[in-house]
Amino acid sequence: MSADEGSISFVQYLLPALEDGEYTITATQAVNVNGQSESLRATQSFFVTGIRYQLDDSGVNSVFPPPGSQGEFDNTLPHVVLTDPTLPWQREPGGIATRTGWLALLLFDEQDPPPSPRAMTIADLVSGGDVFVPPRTPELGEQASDPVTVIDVPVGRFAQIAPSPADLTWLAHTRLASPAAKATDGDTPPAAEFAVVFGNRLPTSGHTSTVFLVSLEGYGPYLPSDDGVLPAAVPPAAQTVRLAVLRSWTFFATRLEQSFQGILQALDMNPAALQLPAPPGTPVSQALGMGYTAMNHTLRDGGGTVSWYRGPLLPLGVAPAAAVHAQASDELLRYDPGTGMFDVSYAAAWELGRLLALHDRGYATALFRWKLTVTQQAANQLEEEIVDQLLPPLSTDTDQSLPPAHRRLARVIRDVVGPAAAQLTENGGR
Amino acid sequence: MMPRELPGFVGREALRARIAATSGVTADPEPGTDEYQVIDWLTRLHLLHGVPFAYLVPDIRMLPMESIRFFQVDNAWVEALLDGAFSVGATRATADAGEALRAAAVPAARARLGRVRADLLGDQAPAAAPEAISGFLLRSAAVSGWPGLEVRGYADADATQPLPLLRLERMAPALLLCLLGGVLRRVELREPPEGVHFGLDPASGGGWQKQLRYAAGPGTGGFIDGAVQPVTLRAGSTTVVKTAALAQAMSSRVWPSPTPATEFSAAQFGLEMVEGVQSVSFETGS
Repeated sequence: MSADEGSISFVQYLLPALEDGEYTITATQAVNVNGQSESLRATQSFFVTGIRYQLDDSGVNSVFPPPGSQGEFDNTLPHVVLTDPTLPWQREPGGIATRTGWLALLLFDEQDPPPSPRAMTIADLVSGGDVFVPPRTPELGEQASDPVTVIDVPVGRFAQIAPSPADLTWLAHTRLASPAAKATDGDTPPAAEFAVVFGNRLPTSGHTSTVFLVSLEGYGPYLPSDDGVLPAAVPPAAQTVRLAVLRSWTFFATRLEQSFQGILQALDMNPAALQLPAPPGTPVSQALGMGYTAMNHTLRDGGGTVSWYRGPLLPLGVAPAAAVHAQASDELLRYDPGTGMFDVSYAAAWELGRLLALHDRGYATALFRWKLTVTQQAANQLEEEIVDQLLPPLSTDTDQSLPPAHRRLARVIRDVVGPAAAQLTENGGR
Repeated sequence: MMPRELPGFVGREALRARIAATSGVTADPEPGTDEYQVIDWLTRLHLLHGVPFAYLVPDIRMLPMESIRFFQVDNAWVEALLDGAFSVGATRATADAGEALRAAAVPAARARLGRVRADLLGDQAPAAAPEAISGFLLRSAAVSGWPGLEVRGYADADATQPLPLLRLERMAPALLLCLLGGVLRRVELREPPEGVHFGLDPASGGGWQKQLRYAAGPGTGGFIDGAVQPVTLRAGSTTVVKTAALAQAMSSRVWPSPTPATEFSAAQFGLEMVEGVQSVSFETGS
């Protein structure tokens, strides 16, 4: 691996400075003056809010496999890269080991089938009928009408695919990347810390898979065991489990028979140069080795022959010919008296250049106009110089910043019109 | 007034000399001018834009399926191509300018070779004008299957002198043309890095396994020879990985020296589960 790839560090977790929730700060001070003591006390409560049911686009750096993509993903565990490096540890599933992430990726196969996300409100996040939702603590600033996207997953499916409490500790980490080789966004330096959450289920090749980033807050005691058995805490009447969805996407997994490496290592590299394969020792092998191809050539007089042609892509190590400038393509036809064959390569290139130029009207017009402008400018310059030579030298009092045509006019007035007018006045006075 | 001698007509020789003296091509012509348009077009032609494939590869047997072929670009061929392209619009009035401008425009186009791709990518630092151009043609399923395929070319076998990419273009779904500034000695084809992801390796007898990497020490991230961890799936499922069990099984196997398994955290697990980006290098003959 070369150095320009940069490096990346994996970190178990980054904890937020304060977890979401209500906090109270109490300050006490004991004052003692002349033996009289008094204890002063002040209390302030505040609330840390964070992402709970909504994650906007700026919160997601990328997802993999890319949404809507199709590819060799059948050995891939999907993942999401979050821009907030502490997000997975800002809340907790509760009831299980601390520092366990509250976000998980659930992958559904098209045959499961995937549950349809539904737009609901926070008020709908309650158990009722055959739907199970773990008890929820309302937070400051929340309103019952706040929107939330939910999926209702059958309990059997949930037990099968949801991570166990032990799994959950392994499925999120933080990545520290080197920002040196990354693009900046305006004056914002590139982000270097990300949280990554990945799934525990492989997609099935030939099927469409749907991935949901779900909140497992409060689900700690209701997650399946390592072997996919739901704990007794889940009410037996529950048919579906309702989960809040923060993100979802779909992709299609295929299975390619070969890997990237496998395909490239099997490439035909003999010969490595762009040339026709030629048995060694035959009369043409030298020409073929230099990249030549024999082509049918229809001559001007109607006769036919075979000529050599070689494109611009020479085998490495073959010395190219010196460049020749020509007025017509025929000048570049080369004849080899030894074999009696023409080499039409450069003539063909010249003619192709001409055809391509004529084909592009914009270029052909610009080229003609450019040539004409340069010719006219040079002719004008010469003409002005001749006129300048015929006029007497400029006196120093003429404004040098004037354009040449103005200065010339000033000279004509001074040297030709002035004396003539003076003469007229002289004659008139007589 | 004294009668004066009339000057002669402007002579053709004088005009030709004047054009040659004044028609220096500006190094960085203003976009929108004819000069810019012509030089820009010639620069693209120099990179063989618009040259039909049959002119590049006259016989398809030169480039069979699943093959890679290296080449250098014939400078004389390109000169002839540009010469032909410059020959249009040569009327009597412009014939003199044509010759002088061609002599200036072709080097100007060559000096801009590095800018075509740089402008395309919005890169502010285009590559310097190369002495020579070389490259390769790749006709393979790898081109169609991995659209983000990356190419790095080097002037030496040890991959210390990178060559600038002048043109890297998919000419057909499975055909890639690469032109580099300089003489190519080694080329590295790499799977797109956006493909870095978590995954498992198929085991030979069916099922899944994972090749282990060192999680500490100087060789961190490198594969541990022969250390392969079989992956167990949840009972009754063919797709759900027993993540905690897998992490537990890996926890004592990934250290270069004896280390307690408790050192193994989600960070090390993330490292172990990453699927590396594959790359293949080719060296051309010396």
